[in-house]
Amino acid sequence: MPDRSGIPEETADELYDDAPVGYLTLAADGTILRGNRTLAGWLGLPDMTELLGRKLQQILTPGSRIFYETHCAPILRVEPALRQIALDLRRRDGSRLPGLVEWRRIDGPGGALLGHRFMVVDATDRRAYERELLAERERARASAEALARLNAELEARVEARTAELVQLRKMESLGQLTGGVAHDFNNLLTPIVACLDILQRRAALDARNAALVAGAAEAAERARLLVSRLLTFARRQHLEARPVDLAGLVAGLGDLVARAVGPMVDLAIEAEPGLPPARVDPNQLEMALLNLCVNARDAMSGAGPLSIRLDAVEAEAVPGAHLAPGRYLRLRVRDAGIGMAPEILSRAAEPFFTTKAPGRGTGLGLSMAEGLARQSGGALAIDSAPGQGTTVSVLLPEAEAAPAPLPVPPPEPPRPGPARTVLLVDDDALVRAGVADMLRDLGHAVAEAASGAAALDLLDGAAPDLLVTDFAMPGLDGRALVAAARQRHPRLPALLITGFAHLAASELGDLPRLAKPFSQVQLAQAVERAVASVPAAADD
Amino acid sequence: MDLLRRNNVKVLGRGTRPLVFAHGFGCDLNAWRDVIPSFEDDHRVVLFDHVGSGGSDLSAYVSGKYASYDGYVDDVLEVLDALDLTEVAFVGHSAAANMGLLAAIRQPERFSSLVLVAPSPCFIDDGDYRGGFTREDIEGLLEVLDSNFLGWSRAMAPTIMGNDDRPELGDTLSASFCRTDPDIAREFARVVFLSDHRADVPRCRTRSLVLQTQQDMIAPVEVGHFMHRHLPDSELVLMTATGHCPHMSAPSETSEAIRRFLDR
Ligand SMILES: Nc1ncnc2c1ncn2[C@@H]1O[C@H](COP(=O)(O)OP(=O)(O)OP(=O)(O)O)[C@@H](O)[C@H]1O
Repeated sequence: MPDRSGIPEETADELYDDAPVGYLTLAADGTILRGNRTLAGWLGLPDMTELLGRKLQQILTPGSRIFYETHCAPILRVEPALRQIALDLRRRDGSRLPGLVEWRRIDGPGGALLGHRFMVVDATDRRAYERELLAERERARASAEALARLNAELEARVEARTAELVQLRKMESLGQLTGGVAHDFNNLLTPIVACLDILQRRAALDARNAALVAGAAEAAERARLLVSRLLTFARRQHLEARPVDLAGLVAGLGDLVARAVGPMVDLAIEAEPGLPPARVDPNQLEMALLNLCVNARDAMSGAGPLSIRLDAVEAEAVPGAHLAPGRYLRLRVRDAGIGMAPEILSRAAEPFFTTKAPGRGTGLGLSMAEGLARQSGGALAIDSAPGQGTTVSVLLPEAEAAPAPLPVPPPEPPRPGPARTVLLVDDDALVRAGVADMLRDLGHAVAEAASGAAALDLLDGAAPDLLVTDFAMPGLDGRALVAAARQRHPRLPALLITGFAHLAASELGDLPRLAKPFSQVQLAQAVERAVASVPAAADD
Repeated sequence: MDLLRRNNVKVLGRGTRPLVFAHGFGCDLNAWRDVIPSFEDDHRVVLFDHVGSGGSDLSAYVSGKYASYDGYVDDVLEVLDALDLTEVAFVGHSAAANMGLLAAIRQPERFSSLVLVAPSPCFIDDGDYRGGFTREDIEGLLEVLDSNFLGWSRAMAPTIMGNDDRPELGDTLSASFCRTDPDIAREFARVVFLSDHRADVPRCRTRSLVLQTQQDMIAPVEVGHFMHRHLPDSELVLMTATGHCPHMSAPSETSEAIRRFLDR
């Protein structure tokens, strides 16, 4: 009934036909019985007549038709309703209308399924958002995965780093321990070597005693070598690093290696031509290479191919070695031996780690080689697997300057220098006595002092020709003593005796020095060097 | 692993002749609800869900295994073996019709007969063969699956079915619908609608019944004829029922057709 405005009330047909949703009434098998104008319009039809008698499936896209038949139709058979289903309708022109669909069941008498009321809203916008949302979620999932991967990688890296650090600390403390022990041994060896030296030179020994002394001297020499290997590992060895032509060094080493490894080992040496020199102590390097070759021989039970190859690589080419950027000379010693299992490989370069029978290996070969490489600014890399043989690479930094020719070893018999007055200072009575004996044996007159302070007292008097002092002493150390002595006698020559040969030149000043233990010959030469290096006169 | 739990196997009936029902894509074992009563008296009725559907153990779904029918066929044979069934009459709807076909080729001795309800060995048109769909159509299906199982509707799941007032509906088709895992649905859809087993049809020697309805918009009547032509020992029944799920829309016509075939 019209109200006062004269506008008639909505009719039910009007509400049905012009509703903002599409309506259909469907038979149980999906046949379209009735529909509204809104839906006809959406589908691009003037009205519903064209659709009557056709099936719902026929106004769906093929994909939606499958979904309807497989997922919706079965449920519609047994459930009273189905809501919020995404289905695409197909317009007359073939385009797609994304819809959101609901069905409500119409029961006949006795509860039999008569058909459905079908309702659809235009879900174009919603579906577009949904697509974006899904794409966004996919992106989020992908980045979450990438993040998880990254995290796992980071964790692995941190773990590896931590393990490395632990190993480093262990080596560090082992190094300190070893260095300390080696230093004490050096102190003990000094008088032993000195005494034996003097005995051999001076005492009139019968053949049997001479043999005994020679045996003792040989043992002392072996002990000295051992200590020096310990010091190398502890990186406290005094390295005479200089530019070295490695190709020449390796070629020169060939004979020695061949002899050391025996005739059954097939030795091949290859060097890339035209390589720059490396910066390293050549004597130490020879010793290290020899050791590696002996390891190789042992791994091959004395027979098989052994190669030493020399080339140059950039630091990045050896990622595990933590080298500073730049070019490195690489010496590779490769054998076809038994190789190492991972648990051996990880410990092989530890000092005292050996798998050899007691008395057969010291376990210092690889640690010494590594110590040398590291102290020279390079690295040692071992590549090995059981049954695959082993390659040990020694990486050494390229030297800037041209290599000096290998030095000619100094002539053995000391030219007896002129007799001099020497003030000898050492807090260790044993060492002091030994060195004093050696000096006296060389013809010098020796005054002894047990500390820097005692020495300065003596220096208040007349100046000796030379001050020979231990470096490491309680109270005044060797360098301070020399400085104090030179306040009294500015041109006083001085010689520092050091156990810790690693001390940098800056710590010792440019004073002449002699590393413990030393032979009488070395002492004689050092004395002459020291006297010759008297500082230029300042005031007289 | 407990196979019976994995495939949600149910054994009913008072008879001994084994009759196994396998549901198609989008359904679960509830689809057979109105068909089984007429077989319970004289059959051992076995119902189960494919892994990934209905009440199966979703954790048993491994993508690689179920990327082709083979994984599903393995499961069918394992279930039959676990129940120690021989002389099996196997009723498979749509996708499961293919599973029955392939299982019978693999172990012919285990099956006495196959009932293939609305089968199709290949849904994609190919030359003269009319499967009913193109690959693009299947892409459209995958999109619709996503919209329903990944999108907004998914968030609305409890209200979708309109049975929020019937919480006791724990084990129903609509409950399965709500549980559908979108990734599984996608992969199953690819297996069902993109694989082509036409070459396998003639290799099945088991006695078979093809049940073809009127106006099946998924497996057209030509496909029913194709099946009948290529299955060596088959009968074709053109039903008066319409649509792709005669066992639901016309359960008595369906069970009568099955019974006539089995009793012969
Ligand atoms: N070339 C190699 N092949 C297989 N294993 C090796 C090789 N080099 C070293 N190793 C293993 O690493 C361990 C440690 O070697 P390292 O050179 O440090 O000491 P060593 O050889 O045992 O003792 P020494 O150096 O006194 O001969 C060896 O005992 C061996 O197990």
